[in-house]
Amino acid sequence: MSWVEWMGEILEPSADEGELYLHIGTPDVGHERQHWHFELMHVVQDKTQPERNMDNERVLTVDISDLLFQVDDWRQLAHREIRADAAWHEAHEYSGEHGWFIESQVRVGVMHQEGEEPRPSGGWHHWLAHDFILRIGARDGHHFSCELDAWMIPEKEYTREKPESPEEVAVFAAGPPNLRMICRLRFDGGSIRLPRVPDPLAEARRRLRKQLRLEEFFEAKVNWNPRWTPDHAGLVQLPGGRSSVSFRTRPYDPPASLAESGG
Amino acid sequence: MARAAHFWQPRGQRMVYYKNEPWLLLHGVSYFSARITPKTRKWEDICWSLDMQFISGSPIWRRVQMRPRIVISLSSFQVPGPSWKDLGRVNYWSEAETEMDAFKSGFLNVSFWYHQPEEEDWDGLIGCNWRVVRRDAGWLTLEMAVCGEGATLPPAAGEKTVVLIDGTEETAPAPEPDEAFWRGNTALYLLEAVPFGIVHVLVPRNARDVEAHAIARARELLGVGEPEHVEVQDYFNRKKPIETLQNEVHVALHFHGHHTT
Repeated sequence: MSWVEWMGEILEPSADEGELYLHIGTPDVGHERQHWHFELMHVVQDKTQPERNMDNERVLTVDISDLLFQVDDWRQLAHREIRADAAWHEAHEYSGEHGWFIESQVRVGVMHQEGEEPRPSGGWHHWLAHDFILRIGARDGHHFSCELDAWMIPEKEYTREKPESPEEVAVFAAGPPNLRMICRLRFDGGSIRLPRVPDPLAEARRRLRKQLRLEEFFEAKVNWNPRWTPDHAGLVQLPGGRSSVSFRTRPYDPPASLAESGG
Repeated sequence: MARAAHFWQPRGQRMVYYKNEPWLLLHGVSYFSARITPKTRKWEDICWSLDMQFISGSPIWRRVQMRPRIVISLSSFQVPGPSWKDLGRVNYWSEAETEMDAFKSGFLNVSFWYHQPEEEDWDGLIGCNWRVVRRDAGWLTLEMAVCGEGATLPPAAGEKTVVLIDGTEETAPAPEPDEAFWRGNTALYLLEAVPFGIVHVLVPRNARDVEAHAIARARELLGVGEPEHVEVQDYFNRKKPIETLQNEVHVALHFHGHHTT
């Protein structure tokens, strides 16, 4: 279930669920090791149309690049609140394993149909925010209740040439939020990177149990690290080298919007 | 505001002072590396480098695509022993006694980037003060200080001479320089942990097994173990060959988890 108020308009509720994905890095990369990524696709079907397709759907996506917290047990996600003001960002942001700056940013994508106001051309339009409040509530299996308030800025206005002043940065959540969202949030799966080990699946199981208290997972798949061929013509996987193991917390279940359309 | 401490380094021990920004070390592009060519016969001839990059962590930059960045490169320094673990004993802190000592500490390049490389603060500076203060497995905590004009660093031994009330002189432990000292007396000061990262080996193309040859050479000269990842690149045998001065096969042995294929 998903409920969204976007720019003052309450969209029709949908059966969609938010999804949480976890990526765990190896200990030898020298930074925080858990990356929690949030995403929701809220799809509203125009029921006056006989057929369901992209042309008569309203689609709004919400994703948060990284929730920037570390837990010893995935159940500790319950009853967490992030109040993402400037001090919180500064205390939690860091450099990832490949030199990327890891920050927590809300990104909203809205698909506009051709001719639809306010954009004459169809396609995706994006908004960004650093200011947000995320509340994760009680747990029910792999699901959590979840609320998000965010102060979104159109992407073109968001990016600036010059830095903000300390006074601008200090202002948090000015006015009412223009994105409010309530949804069921599912810890859906993720991946864990591993050093060179003889049996990545067994090692992934051991580490997920130890680091996350995750006792059971499904559809595990080993992805060996690739490397370039000496002539740089293509990438080849290196069995026996480093690897990552992807997993799901439950067998694949297509999203409600796809299930309804038979996708 | 203090950032969360990282597991490999005690809280409060990481710091970088430069242009009054709160700098964050960029992982993956910051590491020690060594280069072995077919002409390298002994460990003293190995060419060592240290590359580090930092990005501003200040929230004032959050809406600017390109945050300010420092790029530090220290090249051609000598390590005092035949093992990569001897990186943990590098000490070029005290003032160089001879010009040769100054050369041994390497050539320092520091660039400050904001959109473009706006300025190069030091290009090829010789005789930089730096030392490794700690090694934890493959991670090396290094301290580096580049003095401002007219400033000098405290002695490495941490001792100073004091004159007692009766006129006699004694040596006493000098207090550890604090944050105010480093901010006031250095143009750049850093205390950071970086990994022993990559050994580049140039392998003659007639080697039977290029990869095995590279690992054997690195093991012989640096005492390394099994690498975490190996990249083999033959720049001559490409659709668009890249002509290099040496017609060897380039093998990069990665000893940390950051390789970015």
